[in-house]
Amino acid sequence: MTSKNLFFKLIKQDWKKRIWCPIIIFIVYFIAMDVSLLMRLDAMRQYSDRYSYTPAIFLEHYFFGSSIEGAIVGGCLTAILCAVSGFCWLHSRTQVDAYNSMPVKRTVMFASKFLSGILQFLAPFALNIAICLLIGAANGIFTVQALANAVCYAFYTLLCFLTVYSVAVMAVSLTGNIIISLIAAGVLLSYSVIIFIIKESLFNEFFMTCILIGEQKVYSFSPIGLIAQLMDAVNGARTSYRAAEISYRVFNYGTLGGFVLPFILQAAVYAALGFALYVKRPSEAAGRAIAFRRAEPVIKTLIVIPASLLIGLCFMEIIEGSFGWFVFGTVLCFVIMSAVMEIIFRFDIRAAFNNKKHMLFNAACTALIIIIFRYDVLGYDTYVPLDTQLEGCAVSIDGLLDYDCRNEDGRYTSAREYRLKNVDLKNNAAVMELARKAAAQKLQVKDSSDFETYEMYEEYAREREFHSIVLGYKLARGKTIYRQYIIDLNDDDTHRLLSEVFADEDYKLGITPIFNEDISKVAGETYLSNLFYNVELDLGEEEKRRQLIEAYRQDYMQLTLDDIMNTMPIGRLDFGISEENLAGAEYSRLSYYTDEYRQNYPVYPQFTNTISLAKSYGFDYNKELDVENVEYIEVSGYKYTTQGDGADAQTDSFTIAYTDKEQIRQISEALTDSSLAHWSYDYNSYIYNDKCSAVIPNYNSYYFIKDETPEFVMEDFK
Amino acid sequence: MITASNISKSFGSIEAVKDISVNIKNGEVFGLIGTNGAGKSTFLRMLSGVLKPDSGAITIDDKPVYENPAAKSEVFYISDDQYFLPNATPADMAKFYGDYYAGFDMARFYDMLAKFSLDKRRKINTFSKGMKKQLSVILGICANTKYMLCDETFDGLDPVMRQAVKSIFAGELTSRDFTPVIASHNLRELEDICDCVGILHQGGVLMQKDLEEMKLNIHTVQCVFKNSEDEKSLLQLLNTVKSEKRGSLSLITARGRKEEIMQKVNFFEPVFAEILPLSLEEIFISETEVVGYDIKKLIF
Repeated sequence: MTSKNLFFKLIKQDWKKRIWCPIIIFIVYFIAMDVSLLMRLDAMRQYSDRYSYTPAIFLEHYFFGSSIEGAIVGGCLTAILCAVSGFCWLHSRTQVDAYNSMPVKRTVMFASKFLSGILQFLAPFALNIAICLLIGAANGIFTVQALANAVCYAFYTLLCFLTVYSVAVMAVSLTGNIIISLIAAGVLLSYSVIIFIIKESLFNEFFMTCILIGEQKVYSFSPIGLIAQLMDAVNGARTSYRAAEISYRVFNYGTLGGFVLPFILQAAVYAALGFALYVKRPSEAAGRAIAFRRAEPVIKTLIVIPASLLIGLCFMEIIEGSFGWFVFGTVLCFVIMSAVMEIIFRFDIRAAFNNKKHMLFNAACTALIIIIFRYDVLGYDTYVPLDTQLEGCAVSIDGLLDYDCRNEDGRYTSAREYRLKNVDLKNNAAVMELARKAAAQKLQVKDSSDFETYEMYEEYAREREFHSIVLGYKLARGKTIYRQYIIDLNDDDTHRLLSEVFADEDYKLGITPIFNEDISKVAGETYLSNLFYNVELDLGEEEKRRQLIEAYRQDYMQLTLDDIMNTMPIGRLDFGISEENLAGAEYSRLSYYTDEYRQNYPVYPQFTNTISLAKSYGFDYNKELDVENVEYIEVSGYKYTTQGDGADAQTDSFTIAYTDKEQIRQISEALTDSSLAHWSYDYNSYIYNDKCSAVIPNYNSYYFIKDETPEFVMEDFK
Repeated sequence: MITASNISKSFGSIEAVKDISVNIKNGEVFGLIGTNGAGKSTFLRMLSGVLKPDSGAITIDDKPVYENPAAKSEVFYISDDQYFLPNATPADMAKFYGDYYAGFDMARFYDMLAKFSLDKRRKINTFSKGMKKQLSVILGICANTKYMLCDETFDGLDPVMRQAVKSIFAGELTSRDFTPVIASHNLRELEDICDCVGILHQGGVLMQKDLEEMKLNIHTVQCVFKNSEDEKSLLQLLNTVKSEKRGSLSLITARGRKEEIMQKVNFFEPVFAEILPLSLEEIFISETEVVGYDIKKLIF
């Protein structure tokens, strides 16, 4: 008998031994795939008007496309089933005696069992895919595209299966009991995600300057991390497609290509670890919790410390940032977990507090981590790189000129992330001076709950004008380190430094999407508007658009921080930005939400170039409300009365219609709306919105500018 | 030949086998005797390549056994709790072992099943403990390996079946190169089949001896003397292990060949004298007492 023959005989033997496993997998996928496909096709036949796509497209892009998520979840669960059923004999002394006394090398035994487990998933899964394709053919909707997508569907599901399967085999080889194996598999599958969450939470809770910028890549050394990323990419792989009569979402497997190698590498590493553990595993380990005594303290440390910190963080979250409760939760979990781990290792409750030295070691490590975070031993919050280390600095002055921003792929992104991505200040001494000052001051925004009385809070708030800035230190080695600082603009020096940062042309250019767009993507339809009027211009010629943007740019570059803080914009400039056109033929390019979106920008009274060019196009930004054409202005609000106990009581809402032209004019001069007010750096300080607001019929709804509300309105809504 | 040299095995703080050295010659039936927990099963699991000794070496025909399919292919191990595939029939198990052992004799297997009145299509999980033991032995015999390691295999067999198994062993011993190693805590079960016996106690081997050699070198004489002086003189003359008096009848156990002992006894012209056969149990009691152990406490 050759070893090759033996190998295949062992696989055959394994199939006979656990034939129930592929049968279960076949039945589950049969119901989830074949039956569901038949049901859906039947529904599409009966209610064809409800679907914007054909059954053939459904088979190609939905069934063998976006529904891969379900197949992946199924693949992950069956991977655990196959691994545990294939290798759980290692936990039975009787079976270990039988198999390990046979004239077979462990390597051959492992390889045969490992491959057998894969085949037990793959065979029924592939068979179901083939049946689905046959159903498609029988319904006349089989296409080459459907076949290609079916192959990709099977391939990516198999990748996920292989990764989880390898981890589960490793877990079974590492342990000596089926329950402990399942727990170990769960831990190994999700460990990187848990560690990531704990790390991020600790940084967020303990470091006031910590800020998460960009898409946070979960550590992917555990499969759940990688699978979560794949699932996210699966969502991104759904792209809109519109043709003349139909619209649907194309599923593009090409976007998932980057996952192939990481999955293969991860599966290979875990399979190799599983193999090494299997080969080294002593036969007498059957029935123990952990097969390797030497691994027990390492495993205990790797589980007890993160679990304790995680529970501590949960306590901290529940009790609103209380460090005392964090310590309590950590200690409580530490003691419980240490005892539970020892009980599991020994299967003896009396062994709960064995290995006291190791428990002390773990306690010391946990305490060290807590001290590092609590007292910022490593100087995270005070870190500011030396000027010599710095290549550039990304800056976001939060809340100042927040534009609607998009990434290159058309997805929305926050103004902060856009700024940090696009701003790269070099040789701006003010930025680093501001950073050093902010890092040294360690200002924190307090809320009213931090004070004994509300009056004390009001006094505190009056004396300060806190704002947030985020800096991205771009270091020479290509790494960017982000920090968020609270600054107080009532501090003259801080105000000066921030003004200098804002004055930097690179900052202004970097934060403003219109200056970074390809001019060819700026649509012809442009809206100019002030508080009461707007006009749509057809700037069909690129040169006209360029002129308007250039005029705006010249004005914009002159804008100072004080201008923004002290001036209300008088109007807006709306540009349409078109993404590449999707409508039409190919499945190629994608848009996530729409193929066109709008960007709007404030026009300040100081923007003389823009205002005069707009005038030449026929729009006057300074045009006031034509009171003769306004019949009345409705002002709605509340009255407040002082009750016997001295407290203010609010009446029901009521409305007054002002018809006097002079009153209308006075009111119109005191108004603003949210579309203009939101550009203000301190929005709330401008708006007198807590007592009344105005509506001009056929125009819009408005707020009163603080301190400019006419006396008669103040009197009416006192 | 199976050679175990200075092997030791511990499970945590428990030392299961301590520095054991044993040589098992081909063609002999080796009995391994010891109380529960003496290390018999651990020793057999090491011989079969299931366990790796912490120290020392085990070779089978000069080949190390652990992780060596070439050596393992000459060994069939029947554990005290033999594994059968779930829902398997005897025929399934024959196919199972047939995959591993190239020389598995399928025809003989079915023949022996019939002789033992075991149904080849009946599920093994409906078998009695004794039937499972019979099946294990049949599978082991039909695997045609040179060595068969039996852990408590005779326990649970009824006397008829025990004799049947013994006769199969005897047949194998005469027809081919076959060496069974039988572990048991019951010395009496091994008496009529073993050629050589090793006694294990608390992980160590107390002794290993050839049974025939032991039987030839120790005898009990039952005799009646004319006077007590003759008896005292005889006891001094013989290499006496033990003597006992029942009325006028003296029972003397002494080392030496049968002829030598009788010559010395006849010198004193006893009224009556005859050699009595010694059981294995009696031989071991005598032998181990000499080495300072109270074997009755160890084994029986």
